[in-house]
Amino acid sequence: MKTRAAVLRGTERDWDVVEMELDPPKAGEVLLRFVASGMCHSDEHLRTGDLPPFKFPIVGGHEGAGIVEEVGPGVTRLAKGDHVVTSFLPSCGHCRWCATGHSNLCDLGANLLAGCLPDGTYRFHLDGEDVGAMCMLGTFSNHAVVSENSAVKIAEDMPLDKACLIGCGVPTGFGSAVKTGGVEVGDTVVIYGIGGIGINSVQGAALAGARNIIAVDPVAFKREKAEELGATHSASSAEEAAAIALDVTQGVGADKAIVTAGVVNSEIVLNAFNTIRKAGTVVVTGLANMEHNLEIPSSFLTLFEKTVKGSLFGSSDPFADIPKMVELYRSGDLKLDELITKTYTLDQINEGYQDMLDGKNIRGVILHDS
Amino acid sequence: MTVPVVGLRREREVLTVALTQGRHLVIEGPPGTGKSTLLREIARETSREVVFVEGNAELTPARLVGQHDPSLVLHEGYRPEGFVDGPLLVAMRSGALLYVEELNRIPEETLNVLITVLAEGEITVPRLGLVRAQPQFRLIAAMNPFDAVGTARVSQAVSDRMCRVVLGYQDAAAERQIVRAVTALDGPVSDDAVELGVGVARATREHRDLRHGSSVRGAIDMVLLLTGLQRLRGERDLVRETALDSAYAAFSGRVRVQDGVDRTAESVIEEIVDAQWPGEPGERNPGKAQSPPDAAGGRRRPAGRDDRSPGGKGRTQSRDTLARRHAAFEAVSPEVGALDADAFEALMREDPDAAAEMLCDLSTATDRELQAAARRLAARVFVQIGRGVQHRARGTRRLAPAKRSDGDLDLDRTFDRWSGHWPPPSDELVTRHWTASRRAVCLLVDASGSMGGRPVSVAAVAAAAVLLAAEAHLATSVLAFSGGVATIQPGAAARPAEDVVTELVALRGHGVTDLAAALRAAGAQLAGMNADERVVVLLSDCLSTSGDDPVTALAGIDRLHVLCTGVTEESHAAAAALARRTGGTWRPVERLAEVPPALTAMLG
Repeated sequence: MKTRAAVLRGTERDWDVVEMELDPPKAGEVLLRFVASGMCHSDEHLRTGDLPPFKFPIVGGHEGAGIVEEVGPGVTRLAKGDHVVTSFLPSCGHCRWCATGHSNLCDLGANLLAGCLPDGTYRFHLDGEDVGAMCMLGTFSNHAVVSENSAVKIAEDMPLDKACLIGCGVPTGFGSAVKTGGVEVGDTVVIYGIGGIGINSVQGAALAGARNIIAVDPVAFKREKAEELGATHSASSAEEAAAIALDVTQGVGADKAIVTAGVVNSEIVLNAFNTIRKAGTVVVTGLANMEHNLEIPSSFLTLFEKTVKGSLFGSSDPFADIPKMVELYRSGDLKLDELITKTYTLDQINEGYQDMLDGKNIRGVILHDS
Repeated sequence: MTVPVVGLRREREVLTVALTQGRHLVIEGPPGTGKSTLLREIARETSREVVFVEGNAELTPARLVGQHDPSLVLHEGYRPEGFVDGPLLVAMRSGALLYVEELNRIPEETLNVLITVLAEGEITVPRLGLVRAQPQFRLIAAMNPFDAVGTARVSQAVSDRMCRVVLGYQDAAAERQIVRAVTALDGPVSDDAVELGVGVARATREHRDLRHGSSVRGAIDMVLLLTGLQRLRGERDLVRETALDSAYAAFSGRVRVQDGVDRTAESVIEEIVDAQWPGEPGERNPGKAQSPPDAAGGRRRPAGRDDRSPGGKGRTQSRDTLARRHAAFEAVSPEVGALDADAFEALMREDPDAAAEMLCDLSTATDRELQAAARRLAARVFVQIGRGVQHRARGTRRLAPAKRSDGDLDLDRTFDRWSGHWPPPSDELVTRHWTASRRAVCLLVDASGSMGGRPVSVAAVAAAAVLLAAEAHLATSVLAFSGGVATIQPGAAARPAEDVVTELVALRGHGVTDLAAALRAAGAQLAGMNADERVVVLLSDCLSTSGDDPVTALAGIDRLHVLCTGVTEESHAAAAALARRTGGTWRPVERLAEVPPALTAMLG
């Protein structure tokens, strides 16, 4: 069949919305009609080269929600008509990582940047050429074929244009604080960078019972948004945040620091490292260029037993945590509507990313034509 | 003092054209938005004479229309020459502009005099005859929509005969221009002072702790005082103490702190002055710059956190949960987003209470389309049931004769009684007074945990009924309470009953019952209304679980009626005891159908 999709043809190129060929689903795969797709910074990282795909062109988008239109042979978890949120990490359920509670590190993730399906072949084609899909999904397409391991069924009454955020940004930010960071009742948490990820770290930390949540962002609108969703303090710079953290902990330092900046650099991580207490934890969730290295004072790492941890998908489990987030939305605890600053059509995708880079958005969402 | 009108070009054009087209007008806007200035300027431009009337509760028809000179009547009987024209007749006869300020403070009976004047351009005055208005006669009225104290709603019959122009606060640049123009008459003022004065005045309108803020007049006063104080104290730059002194004097009497907010107007003004202080954000705390602004001091609790309590706002229910709770769910909502109105009506006929309870639950569905459809349907259904309440026409104030030495003289009755002696002895004089019959009603809805699910629909019906009664000139408000009190329908602003019902059906019982705090809030709400009788209708099980003894909180409530939702004897006894304290009544209400007759008995 034909579908319209936003593709990247190379680093630093704009998104192109083109019509392309889509194969029917093979074994273990489903055809999805996407209703909405969040505009995550990781797709922008594809464009800038911070997160280089194995090959161009590639269909973007990995934070989607849609409806199953067709199932391939052997699909057991999904049926036609099911509403799903796509997980940017597939989870097979039985590899070593899935079996030990690290399904965010499932071996199927090996092909995330190749963009092919688990069998190594491609469903998107443009001018006779195989085209990959971001995170094996390609949610910037009206239709896509994905592995059933990448799609999590949700209740039909959950609005899909909000649910799409649960595919990446919400559990990543939430889990960075609650799971990777292990925020506990009474903690003081500093969150660096209030975008689509950081704002959800704020929500997670607040729900986990943090006593002080200090949101750091140079953009005033984002600081206010953080306060709306649970931050107790906000700061426009790391220095100001460090002063607040020391003040509210009587000089001890923050318990946890979550780095969710759009592009991570040594300076931010070093600031976070210096703001946490002894035996405190820095969680690094934001991405940086693949060549980039962090520098950390090794003596203090040793003497103060500090921890610096990476976090993928907020150490969350797609099949357990995506449905849980749906329920948290229902109960009014998890805010999704408030995260969506603006919606765009597929054709407005470049404008949407420019808004993100200009700091105008917490999250932009593409609404596909139905 | 003449000051040019700043801005308002569009409004001025509409006003001028409306007048030349023979329309009567009401100008609506908060104080200090330039209503009078604008009117004076238009009158001058069109060379019209203006007859001025200040609206207030004491403006009787006789004072507006005019009356026979009592001594002439007693000497010579009723004769046209003995009639002294009031401002209305003066304006009508001379074809002038009649400018009536504070229209919504005028008693309804007086306003009704205007109806034929507006519609036909004539008025029939008893014992004088028909008076026709000159073709140039126009009525321009002004009113302040936010005026919560002492105002009534202008009846449809009057407002239907006038055009309406709304004036809002002007933007900051225009207000600065106004302040500069006015203050310049008294000598030069600094830009800093104008900037600060206007900034403070504008901030008072937005501040959450203030019920109403200041007009631009506050800014004018502050700038004049600040400039004068600077001269007196020999200061060239802005000094915080001087600025505060001038701000306190200019604003503390103009702003009004929200009911229930425990701080003084001065402390709010101080906060605003500091926030508006010119310069970089870093230097914004003049005189107390030692601590970082947010780190020290009390911990701020962001609004987002209050929502996080279980049962808080925004909790929705899945279709699975709804289906488990209501046997008829599948029939009424067979698929996502669907609400079968026919199926619902069938259920409503069969078991109205179960249907209503389900409708309230559907109003909190996660399913967006279903939720929206349920809220629309709820507004319709509950308002319809609420219409079942019978209200006698009352609430309009009437002038009634009385033998008192004050008030307007009732010539007819005095004549009948007069023995012919001059001067007439005081016991033969009959005067006219307003009779007390205006009521203000506050519906107080218990939203505590003890209320459960079904009472939500009862509350919605009661609210609809009470608000619909407001159309018969009762001033009404609706408050919901558990541990704290939330205003759903403040007495001053009128919202359609449908809106209030929509908000109420989303309400879910949670938390403790603090009856005393709720009754105090109702008393405070009623205190702001122009009423002769202040009535509270309490919808609750009356079993207080927190706060003071409710009987200590009845100040300012003339009568308390109770719709008791509790089913136990204890609950009924508490309701009866509470109602008895003020001579009110109580009724148990378990079913929807019991609400309209109960309210008819209480308010009808």
